[in-house]
Amino acid sequence: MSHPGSVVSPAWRSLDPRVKKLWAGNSLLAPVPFLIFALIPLGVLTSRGRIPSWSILIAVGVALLIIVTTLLLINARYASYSMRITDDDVAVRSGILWRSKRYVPRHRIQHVDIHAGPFARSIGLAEIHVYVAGGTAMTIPGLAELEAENIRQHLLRAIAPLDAPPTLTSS
Amino acid sequence: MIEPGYNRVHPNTILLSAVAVIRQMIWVLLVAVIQMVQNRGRGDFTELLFAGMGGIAVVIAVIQYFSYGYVVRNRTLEIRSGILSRNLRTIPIDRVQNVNISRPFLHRLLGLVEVQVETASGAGVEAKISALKEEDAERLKEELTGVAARSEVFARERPDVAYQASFKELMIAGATENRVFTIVGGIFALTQFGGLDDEIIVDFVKKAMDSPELTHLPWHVWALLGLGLLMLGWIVSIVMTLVQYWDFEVIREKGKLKRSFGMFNQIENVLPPGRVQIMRQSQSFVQRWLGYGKLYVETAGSFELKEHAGRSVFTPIALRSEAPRLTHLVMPSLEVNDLPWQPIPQRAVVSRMLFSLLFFPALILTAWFLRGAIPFPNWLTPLGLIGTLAGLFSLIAMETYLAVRKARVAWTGHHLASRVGVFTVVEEYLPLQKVQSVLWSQTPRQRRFRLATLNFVTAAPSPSGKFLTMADLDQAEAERIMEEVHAAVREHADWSSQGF
Repeated sequence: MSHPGSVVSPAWRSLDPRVKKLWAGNSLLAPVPFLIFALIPLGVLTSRGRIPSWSILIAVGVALLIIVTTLLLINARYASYSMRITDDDVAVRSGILWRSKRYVPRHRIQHVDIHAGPFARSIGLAEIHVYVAGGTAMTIPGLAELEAENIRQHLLRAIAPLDAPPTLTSS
Repeated sequence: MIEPGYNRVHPNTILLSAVAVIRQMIWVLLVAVIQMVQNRGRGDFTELLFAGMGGIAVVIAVIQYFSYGYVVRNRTLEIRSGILSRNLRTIPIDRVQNVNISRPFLHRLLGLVEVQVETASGAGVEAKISALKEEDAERLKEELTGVAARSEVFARERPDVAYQASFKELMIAGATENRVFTIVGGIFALTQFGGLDDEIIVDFVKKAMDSPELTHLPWHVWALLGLGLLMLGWIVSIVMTLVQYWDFEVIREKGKLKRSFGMFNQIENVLPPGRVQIMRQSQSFVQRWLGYGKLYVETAGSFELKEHAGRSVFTPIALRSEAPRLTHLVMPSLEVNDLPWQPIPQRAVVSRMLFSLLFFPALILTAWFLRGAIPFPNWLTPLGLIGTLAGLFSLIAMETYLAVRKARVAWTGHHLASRVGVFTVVEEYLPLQKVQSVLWSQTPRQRRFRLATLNFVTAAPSPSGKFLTMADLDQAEAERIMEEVHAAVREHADWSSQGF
């Protein structure tokens, strides 16, 4: 197993390329909110004969369009994502059009979660959620499971008390 | 039954919680009573049902009373409750953010108070100890915060009153805020949820709208009606401010600040200054003209019980010249009058107007081309429409221009500050120590104009107080501020061990 310190580097790094596969899988879910909002009223209206039944096909077409767009944007999304973990902070850059950079000083971190859904687990990926006081500060998707674990250990080492650690006899 | 060693709340809690249950059921009860009146003599079970429900409420209240106990020991507040499922909640005293002593009206009639303990978890009040005798509550508060009671008779140092709202100041505070919308909202809510009268109101409005006398009322009657509503809103807001902030006082004691206020429902709240995340000063147009402002503080405690849109009011109103002294109480190293304010780039005007710049000419042109094609109603001529659109556009343009011209940001090395607003000017101050994370963001529009927005995230849970935002900074300037803030936060790893 690699040493936890190996996650630290001053350069911006991209995510694990396998995340593209994960995003491709997730893109099938992308039109779900749209479909819920479109199909229910459409279904009601067509069943009452208010509008022709082929109008449901339009909704399905739009849903397919959403899927295709999401798939086409995966490479751009992958390119726009990068992260940097140094001794002092964690940073994540993301966004194709709406760009953002998030910085969390390491000593502000309260706790760190590792999440992996069934699909992510099957391709060996996990994501890290970093919490500060007051809520989630950032999410880093697309990490190899081992790397996620190493990052977590590295981040949590920084939260150790700064004073001398309590000895067994003191309390 | 609770274990020995635990303190019990006042027996009148039973009465108070029974009343609370009845108050929660008030609409259901109302419906039941009406049904009962309608079904009189025909015999039904509603009465029995409600007698049963009331009985159960009282039984639950009694059980709660006997199973509830609290104690402070080993610098920890312990609260036990429950008979069937038992709970033990422990709160380390060092983690306590605020302690409020509140005296709701009913409690006051019985001579009792309620103690609320807040921690930084953000999920509301962590512990609510309802109905204690004043002495017990003050003793508990002293154990939790080290701040002595107001009513303690002996061995008390003279309280150091830092701020006291006079009657005149409260009048000004109320008079410079209008609550027309509260009234309109209240009337709307009444028609929606006010039981059975809504049909009468709807019928009345319908009839009024249909009647020719009303629709053909001359305009000055409508104007007078509007004026009357405004006056009503004005009076209501004065009365509400007086009732809510009556006797407002900030007292400094042992390095902590104690706020107390309220005419019917009295609230006493201890605020450790080091726990304040963001301080905010707001001045409406009229307030600025009169030289007054309102100060808010934002802590990491819960925001549900705070007084004004999730914020804690620090001073309902105070002279602008007092602001440096008052902010010093909370943030001793902050000099509000000497902040190195810098403007944001002028090109932000164009950036913010981009949508309107494209939208309005397109709309005006469409209206012009369609002027012959579609029938306009007689009260709206094509020229009138274009004029209205042009007027609206120039208003938006002026507002945007002023907003950009007046916006300021400041970064001193220890504090971050921002100022926004045209008519109501809001200044926010954030100590570097409270910055949890930094978010830099850029929309496509901002990228075109080389602008960026910075958000400094704090531990305050309320949506209004979570961030200090610096919108539309120059891209390079945003990078620079972010790097500097970040470097400064990095140097102070010791802050994390001092709580929030």
